[in-house]
Amino acid sequence: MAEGRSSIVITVFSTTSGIGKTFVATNLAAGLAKDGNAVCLIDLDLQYGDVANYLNLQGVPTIADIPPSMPVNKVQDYIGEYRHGNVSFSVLPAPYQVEKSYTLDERRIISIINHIDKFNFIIVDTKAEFNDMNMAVMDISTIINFLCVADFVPAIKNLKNGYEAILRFGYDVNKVRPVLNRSDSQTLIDPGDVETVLGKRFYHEISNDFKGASNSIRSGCPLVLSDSNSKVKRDLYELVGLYTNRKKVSEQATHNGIISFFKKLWSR
Amino acid sequence: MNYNAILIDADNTTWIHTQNIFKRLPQLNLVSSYREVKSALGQGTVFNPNLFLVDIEDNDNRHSLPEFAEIFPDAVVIGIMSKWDADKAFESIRGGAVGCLIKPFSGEDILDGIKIFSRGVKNTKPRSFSFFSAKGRSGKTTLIANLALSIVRQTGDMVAIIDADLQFSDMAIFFDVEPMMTVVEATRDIKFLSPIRLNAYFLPVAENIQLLCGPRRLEYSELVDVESLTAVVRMAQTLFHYVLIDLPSGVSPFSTNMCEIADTVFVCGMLNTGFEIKHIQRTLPMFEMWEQYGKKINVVLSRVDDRQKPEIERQLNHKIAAVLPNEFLMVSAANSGKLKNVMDYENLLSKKINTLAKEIINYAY
Repeated sequence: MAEGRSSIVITVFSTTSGIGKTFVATNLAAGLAKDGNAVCLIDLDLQYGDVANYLNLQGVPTIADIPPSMPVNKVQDYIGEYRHGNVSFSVLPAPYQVEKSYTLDERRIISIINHIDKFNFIIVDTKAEFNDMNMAVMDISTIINFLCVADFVPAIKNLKNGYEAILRFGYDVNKVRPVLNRSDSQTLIDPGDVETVLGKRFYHEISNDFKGASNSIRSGCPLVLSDSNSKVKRDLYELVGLYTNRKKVSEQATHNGIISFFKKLWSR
Repeated sequence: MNYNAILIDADNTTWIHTQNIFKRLPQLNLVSSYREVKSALGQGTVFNPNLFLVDIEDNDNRHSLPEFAEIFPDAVVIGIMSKWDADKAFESIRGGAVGCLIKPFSGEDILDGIKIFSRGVKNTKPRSFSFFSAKGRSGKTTLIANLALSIVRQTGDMVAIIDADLQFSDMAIFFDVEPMMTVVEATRDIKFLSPIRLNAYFLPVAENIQLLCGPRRLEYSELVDVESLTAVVRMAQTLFHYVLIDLPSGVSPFSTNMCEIADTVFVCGMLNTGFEIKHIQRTLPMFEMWEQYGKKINVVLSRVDDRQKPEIERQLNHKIAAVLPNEFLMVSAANSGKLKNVMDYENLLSKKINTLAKEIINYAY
């Protein structure tokens, strides 16, 4: 078998908790799946991961349930699924008990990620912390989606320190994509100031819709799969588009009428 | 102030050493020395002493410390030991000593010790509190900073904050200070430190509040090991009346060790998505074993109002020590480093934290 891995691994990381990592990760996975990709979402916030909660999944085998003796290439058949309408993607949640996280070995998990080959995309949700597990998965990631906020000065200090540390660790600057999530921004810190502090422009911005986001989280359905027509849903779906080669056909279609319709035909 | 001191130590070298250092400082007058504590307690009164240096490595000496307060209510009692022993130091302070010196000490060390150990109001026994949270953004740092301010305001005692949230330590920003010394240096040097030397690693951030800051750089957090940090906290417990420890989120050797050495653990969370209740439900059973051994485990929830409290208590099957409202003012204060001013305002958050502080002071937690 040839070496190498064809699947794209996108790790959603941040140095601040509670700013929407899981929200973005679940929506990235759902949006990519909606576009027809084979997607697996893995929760590496091992102690208190919320992926299963956000997707309202119960009884799905967790990352701690994979038998240690199972060969890595067999693991993908073991992973559970989230389904909404005709969209589905695979999900490997964090353990349901804190104690079960202690025995998990990052080498085994990395080996699993490197060997599951039926997915185009593997989305990894993380805990806001530099630990062995996160470092190992960032090493093998195609993209690190570095989630930022602009609401709280201590948080911004941690973002700056974290972003600089990631670059000092030697990751390619193109691999690390700062994405602003306005989440629950009540204070008016200018996102431009955060960009100045980071020394890098945001790759994308997700607008502030605390209520819409909260409702979608409570409903157990990622916003990009819901009927909502909110700005934040469009922002999330655009982020999905940035990670694929999807053409922005659908939006142009509504604006440019018949010409765009033909363009769309020809672009197929 | 001049001191009439009595030395209680069975060791000849300490006798000679102490006599020598006392000769050089006019404020210090060694009025008598004893090998047995019984003799000192019986005969000492004739010398009208106001300072005792007591060898606390000796079990009899340590156990007799409470008697000093009865017979010599105005005297300062300082424990002396040849090698730092946190258990013995702590026992001595609970017994009535104000602090501990490590041999060989100088005359200046004695005077420094008297000054440092006598800060704040006397007779408050040292207590320590760890603040645990499952995930970040729990409101823990805000709570600790404001509790410290409130405790000082209500008691005049000395409060230490130890920022052990090593990767993402924010406490220095809350008080708008830039540290020279941090937890990295303190843990590096701890083997060679005595309490009065460790005191220099703490930065005064407000009246009677001193802060041991977190690492200046994220990577430096790697230099801090659990054993050294535990030693730092235990020594700090002999220097301050209240020690408040800010922890990294989640269960780790750091957080469990710090919770173990603290008298009381506060499990903190901020209600956001609602799953925070689940996280606390997962957390409490881990601490319940300690509860059986007398450690107090309390829950504090932010962004919750009083009406929600009974239902959440039912879900957790555990009493909630305090619910704190969302306070926009606090966010902007932390953003501008003007935290100290906020506690002056009559807002609901300040009132709630003042109440919690009062209950802490009165041993409710």
